[in-house]
This record gives sequence, structure tokens and C-alpha cells, in this order.
Amino acid sequence: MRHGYFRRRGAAARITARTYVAFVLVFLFAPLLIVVIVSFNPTPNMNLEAGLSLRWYEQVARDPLVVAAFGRTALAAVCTAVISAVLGLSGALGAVRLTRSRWRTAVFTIPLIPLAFPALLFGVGLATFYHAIGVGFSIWAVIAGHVILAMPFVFLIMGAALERFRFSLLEAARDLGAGTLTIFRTVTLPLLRPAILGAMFLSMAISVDEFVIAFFTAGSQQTLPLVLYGRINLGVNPGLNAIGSVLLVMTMALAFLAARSSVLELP
Amino acid sequence: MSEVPPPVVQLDRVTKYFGSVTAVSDVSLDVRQGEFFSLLGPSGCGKSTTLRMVAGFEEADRGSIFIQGLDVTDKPANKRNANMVFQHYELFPHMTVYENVSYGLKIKRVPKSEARSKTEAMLETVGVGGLGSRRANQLSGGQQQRVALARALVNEPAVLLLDEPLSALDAKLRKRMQLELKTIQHKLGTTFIYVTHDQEEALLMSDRIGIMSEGELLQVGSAREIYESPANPFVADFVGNLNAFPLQVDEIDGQLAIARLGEGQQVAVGVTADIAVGSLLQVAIRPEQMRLEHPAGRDESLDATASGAHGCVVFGTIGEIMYLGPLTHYLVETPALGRLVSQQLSERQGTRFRSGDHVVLSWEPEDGFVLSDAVGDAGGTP
Repeated sequence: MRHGYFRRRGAAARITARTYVAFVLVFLFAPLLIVVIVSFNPTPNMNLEAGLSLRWYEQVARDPLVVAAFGRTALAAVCTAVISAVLGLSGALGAVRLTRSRWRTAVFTIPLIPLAFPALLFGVGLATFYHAIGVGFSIWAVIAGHVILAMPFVFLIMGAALERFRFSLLEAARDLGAGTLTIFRTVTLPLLRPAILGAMFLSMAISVDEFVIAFFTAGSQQTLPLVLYGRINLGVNPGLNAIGSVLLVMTMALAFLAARSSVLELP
Repeated sequence: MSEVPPPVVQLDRVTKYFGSVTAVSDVSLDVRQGEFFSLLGPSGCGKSTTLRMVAGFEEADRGSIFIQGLDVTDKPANKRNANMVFQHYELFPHMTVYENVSYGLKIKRVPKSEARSKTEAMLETVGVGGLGSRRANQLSGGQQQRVALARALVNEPAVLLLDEPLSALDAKLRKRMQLELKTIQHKLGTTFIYVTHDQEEALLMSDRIGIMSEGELLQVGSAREIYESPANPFVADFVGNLNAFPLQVDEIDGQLAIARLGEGQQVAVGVTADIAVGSLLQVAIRPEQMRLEHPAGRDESLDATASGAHGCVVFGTIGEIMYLGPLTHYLVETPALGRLVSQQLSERQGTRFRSGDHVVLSWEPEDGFVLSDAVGDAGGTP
């Protein structure tokens, strides 16, 4: 279909399409590529003839601040994924069974609000809110914010999966003697697993490189993006590129896993 | 009379509302041990809802349901000794055929070796012996149907509930599965409650049939009873085809009410209640009970009718002729009774009758029956 589209539109369309692709490639991948290349550079100044080295990775790995931040980032990612998956799945399971359309619309729309809400305002608001209710800034405060950010995506993925879900299969399981928990374990969960995994990987990807909310609510318990930002103020150091490359690989791997489990395996 | 075995399933004045709609109204029913019982009716008549109440998927608003003498009215579906074959099979797509069929046994913690032998034996019984390791979604419609049957039957339920299980199959396969279902039921001796809107299917397969309309159970009986002595106009019309017409009684002769229609035409019909001369009856006759002849061959019987015999004779003109393969339907316009349909075996070389032919329709008085004695109903059916 896409091929036919291009063929009909002729040369002009071909040029604009190629320009668009080139633009994306240059501005998205070129900066990332430079970060990765430089991170393997043995000299502090960018020098492509100096060969390859893991020097900066070793330096970063010995840095207790970076290691601690890496641990927190991983913790935040896992917790965000688990919490938003549980909340998203139970919410979506309840929502698809609502028959009154007004409630249904409300329940399906409210979790999507963070999509349209400026992250900066949300970060400031969240920090003020924590302060007002007397909750200290910590990695847990960050996780709560990340769950809110990830929720729209989880809800959309789960909602799409549940739209196609045959609830009559649950009746069949009950008819064969299964109780509610057994039905969930043996039918609901296995059938929704691709969607759940996809939603979890996506939540992790969102959490791993999230900056704004972490900036306002992490307090002293900095995550990797915060450390990266902090170090930039001390001047560009090749170690930053190593941290950046690690973040990049993590995010891309998670996004890839998310796409593979939820999009490619579902139909 | 042999002793009647106790009912496996008993419905006692069961009623179900959906909002303000009465889906099932005051249905009482006994289904006997080992019986193939069909619930037959048009869509929306409450037959599926009744079945789902027996299964435990719908709660009865009033009345009680018993399975093997046990009151299960308030028990959930997983605590009832009944299993269901769903209209769209509802096989678990993430499991193999074997896993699907052994699911119920696994839930009941049947020992593995026993579960294995039971599952394999049941797969053999329903004719999908070699397919155990296939995924449920790699099967054809007919195979899915068999697996769904095996998955329910392997639990050895007191009653197997089937909700229009053949409706998704094509005509040919459907006919085959009808016979196979009947064979399997006979072999295992399981009680079947079978929901269908297909009257032919119900007549073919059932030991007894319950006819439902608008939430009410209108009549329960064997196929022959339902077909030959329908309890009311709806049953008569729904099962098989029917010619129905109002008739004014001119003469009572014992158990026969006779209407003279002029020019040697008359209709006689058996009546049980006291019918007065002059009352209006709604009378019905099945198309296959009507003889169709050219008038030339019937001169002497016309005389016989006139001289006091009780045969039924009506004159008419053939309109449409509908060829249905083995059978042909002739639509006959009669001045006396309106349009009547006569069903004849098709003839090999064309037909003796053509559209426009003047014909004589005749039948025996015992083949017709009175639909209702109510005079008010008489105008209802043309």
C-alpha cells in the first residue's frame, strides 16, 4: 500500500519523503551516534584516530555516585513497570466491563490526561504537593510520578488488548470448574501476557530516561539522568558519554522489547 | 407403562428478567436421565437464557433449578455438575487440544495418569484422536466443534448443555455432526439439553422437544407429538409448514365439524370441545397432507362428497410452483379458503401440473386440526 502511494505521487513525493527520512536520521541518530563513538574514545578530546577504549566506562563504573544512581534508575524502572501494569490491568479490566457509556468515557479518558499535561508543570506541582502533605523527596516520590506518566500508555495498550479479548472464554473456564483466581491465572493472564509485557517494557523505557519529575522530586536520591545533568555543569567529560550510551542502550532495548511483545505478537 | 426415571434436570417455575423485559417466564420442566432434550424456538425466545440459567451463567430471578435432585439455584457455574458446549466453541487459544480437553480434569485434581487416559479416550470418541498436540486455533470448524464436545464430556457431567453448537458449520458438515452428536449421546448415555432455532434439527435429533416463544414454554413432547398434535397455533406454525384458515361450522356430526363451501366443496375437522353450529374455527392442515389432482379424475368422489361422505375437497387454481429438489410446493389459489400450499414429491419428468391449472385439493378429516376455538382469533390468519 505504501509502495503504491509513492508510485502514484511520482518524483516530487519521493523527494519530500526522502528528505523527511534523512532529516530524522540526521537529527535523531547523528547526535546519538557521536555520543556512542566518543564514549569509546581513549582521549579526553574527540580523536577518531586514537582507537577504541573502555576507559570511560571503567571510570564511570568506579564512581560510587554513578553506580548508586544506576541502581536507583533500575529500581525506579522496575517498580514503575510493576505498579503501572497492576494498576493499568485492573483499571482496564474494570473499565471495559462498564456498560454505562458516560462512566466508560470518564474512566477511559482520565488516565490519559498526563499525556497532554506539560511535564514541567506536573513536576513542579508534584513537588509542591509532596511538600504540602509532608512526604519527603526520594526515589519513591519519583516512582509515584513515573507511574502517573506511564499510566496512559499502559492503559491504552491494555484497553486495546481487552477490546479484542473474548470474555466468553472466562465463562468456558468457569463452566469447567475453575474459580475466579484459577481463571485469572490460567486464562486471563496467559492471553494478556503480550500486552502486559509490552506495557511493562514501555513503562520501564519511560522511567529510565525521565528527567523532569526526577529533577523536582528525587531530592538527594538522584537517578542517572540527574547525575548526567549535574556533570554537564562541570564541563563536558567523556564519562558523560559513557553514561549517556548506557542510558541509550537501556531505553532502546526496552522500547524494542515493548514493540516486539505488544505489537508484533498480538494479532 | 415402564417406570419413568427421575429427572436429571428440573426447572421449577423459573423466571428471568432483563431490565423490564421478561426473558424467561415461569418455566417448569423435567429432563429425564439419558434423554436428548431440545429447546426449540425463534431467536430471542428465551431458550438460550434458560440454558444459561441451568449452566449457572445467569441467575434465576424466581423459581428453582435442580440438577440430580440437588438445588443449584444459588450455586455458581463452577459448582454445578453440568458442562456446556458453546455456540462459538470458546476453546482456549493458548492451549493445545489436549490441554483444552484435560482442563476440567486438571481443575478437579484428577490424578495425571487417569486424566491422560480419560482425555485420550474422549478425543478418540469424538473423532479427533490424532490432534491432541495441535493448537486450538489450528483446527477447522468441525474439529473445533468436536474438541469443544470432548472438553465438556470428559468431565462426565450429569447433563451436557449445548447452545446452538452447529450453527457456525456449513450445511453439509452440519448434517454429519447432527448424526454424530446423536451417536455419541447414545454411546455415552449422557443427558443432553440442546438449544436450537432449527426445527428440522430438533425433530431429527431429539427424544423430546420443548417449544419456547417469548419466554414461555409452550409445549413439551416427542417430535411426533409436537408435529402431529401441536398445542397451539404458534407451535403448529413454528414446527413444519402450515395452511391455516377460518371456517364457519355448518353441521356437527359426532366428533366432526363440517363446513359446506358450495359447489361440492367441504372441509371436515375433528373437534373435542362442544362446538355450536355457526361458530368460527381456526383450522390448519399441513401442506404434505393435501392431495393435488386434476378435476377430471375425481368426478365420482365429488359426487361422494355431495352425498354425505366426510372427505375434504376444495377447488382452486395453481399459482406459483416452487421446486425444492425432492419436493415441490404448489401454491393454490382457492376461492373458498384463500391461498393454500400443497407439498408433493417432485416428479422426474417435469410435472403433471402447470401454473394456471384448475385443480382439486383433498385431504382426510383426521389430518386437519383446529388451531383455536376462539372466534376472536378467526380473523387473525388469512
